[in-house]
Amino acid sequence: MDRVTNKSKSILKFTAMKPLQFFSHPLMQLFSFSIIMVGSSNFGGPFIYFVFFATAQGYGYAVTGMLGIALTIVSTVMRANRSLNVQLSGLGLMCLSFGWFVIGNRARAGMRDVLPFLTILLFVGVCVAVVTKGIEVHRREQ
Amino acid sequence: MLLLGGILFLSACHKNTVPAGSDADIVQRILHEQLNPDAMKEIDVSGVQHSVLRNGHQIYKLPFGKENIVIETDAAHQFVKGAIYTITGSVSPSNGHASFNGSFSRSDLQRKNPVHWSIEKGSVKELHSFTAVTTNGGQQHVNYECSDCTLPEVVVSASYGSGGGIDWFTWMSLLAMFDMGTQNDYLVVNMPSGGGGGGSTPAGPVVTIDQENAENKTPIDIKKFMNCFGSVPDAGANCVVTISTDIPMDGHPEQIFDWTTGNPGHVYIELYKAGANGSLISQNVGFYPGYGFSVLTGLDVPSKMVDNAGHEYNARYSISVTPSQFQAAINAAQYLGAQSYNIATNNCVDFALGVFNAAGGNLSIPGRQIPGFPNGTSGSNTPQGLYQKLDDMKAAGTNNIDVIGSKAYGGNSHGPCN
Repeated sequence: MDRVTNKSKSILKFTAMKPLQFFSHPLMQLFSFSIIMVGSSNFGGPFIYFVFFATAQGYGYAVTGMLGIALTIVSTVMRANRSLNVQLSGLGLMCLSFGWFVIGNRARAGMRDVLPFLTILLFVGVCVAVVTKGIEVHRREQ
Repeated sequence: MLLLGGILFLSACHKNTVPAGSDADIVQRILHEQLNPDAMKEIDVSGVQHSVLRNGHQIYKLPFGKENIVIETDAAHQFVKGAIYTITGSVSPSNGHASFNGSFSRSDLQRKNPVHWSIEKGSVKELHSFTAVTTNGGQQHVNYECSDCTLPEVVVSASYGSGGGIDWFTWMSLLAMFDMGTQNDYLVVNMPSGGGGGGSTPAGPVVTIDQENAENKTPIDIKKFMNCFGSVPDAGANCVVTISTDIPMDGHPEQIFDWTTGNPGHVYIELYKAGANGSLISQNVGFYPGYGFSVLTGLDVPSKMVDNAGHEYNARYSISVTPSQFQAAINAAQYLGAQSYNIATNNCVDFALGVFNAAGGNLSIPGRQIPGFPNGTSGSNTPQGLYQKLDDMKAAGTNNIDVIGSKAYGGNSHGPCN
């Protein structure tokens, strides 16, 4: 019972965060990266599908993306003072992965659609939030 | 005196030497082996242009008197083939569009196997014909505009010059004509000469010109497309049904998916009906999800039919059918085109196979596992599976199968009829 209550409390805590905390949370980072819609009106879907299945075939963008995801997950279980650097590293790798996929592979066909645009916008917003959080923490430490 | 002699010796050596390993050096070495000494006097290695093809081969283009030479080497700069060619003609701009009219001649480097073609509105007239399969085993020659490609052999592009005018660039798919590169590797024919300025010129002579994906086109009314065949009388008509597959990665039929672009490939149907009176209707149609981003839900999603005129293909199989079989294919296209799309169980391949088999195609292909989509299947029908099946059938001696090493493009569609 206590465990359930604790879980409920942590969910409440997560949802009641200030916008900056909410959007810069590692879970939000994972979510926004995973749901970026890529492809075309013929065939498309969340970026995580491509990252997951292309990793097995050794595609650079996919391996980079998986490393970014791994680092971001690791950051959720680390102590606060170290986790931000790991989260930022994960974010960097995620950005590199997506940029590699889009620019390096000319896979921009679906980017003009509304849904992909919105999902990219969300990921960019999360990136800005995480970097802002990083700058704030860095200032506080100084 | 010794010093002067040394300087003269060094400068004399320097004058006739191009840097080892440079483009000019490679071209000079190759042409020295291929051309006679008199012909060597005509070459101008200072004008060498160089491009690398996607297969790693190198293309060199250089002026040769009033003509041009194009050379293909492998990645190690070993000679593969070469040709001497001339192009005469001009660009005719009109209402913002432009096309090239003129003529083209080529021969090999030994001046053998000459070819002379005329170019009208960018298309080599001699190359634009389609040989239809007929029921009596003979062949019927049906000419219509650009049956085997959608881009003309000569493409004209434009950029605004700094002086306010327009610079016209002309590109020609000569590489395909020399059996170098692929159909959409275009060799530059001419560039704006100085005055206009403004236009950015490429570093090498080859560009790849691909066309807009048919997938981005608006849905069609399949019934209206099929209605057109009613205008060709059944009596004495030659009907052909073709299934065409565009694999995800050209040259890699083992790949079920192009993970770099998210391209799963495509399969579509080409329907031809040629009447005894000479009339011809052709329609190329394909089956798609209504909204591509819903595909990966794995659910049945709304579908749409699309005009696949000029769609790329890597292999295709044509069967000649009777008018009643052709009608069965038309009925199947209308029925199957109205069904929901499911990536694993009812995708573009299932549609095309359904139409092809309704016409008596009797074709079944090996299933392939689409990553992440078992959906209770032991494998789904995929463009890759069809390609491999056609490749096997061709090897076993089945007629009317084209398996293209690189890629080619399907014919035109007539469009809708009321």
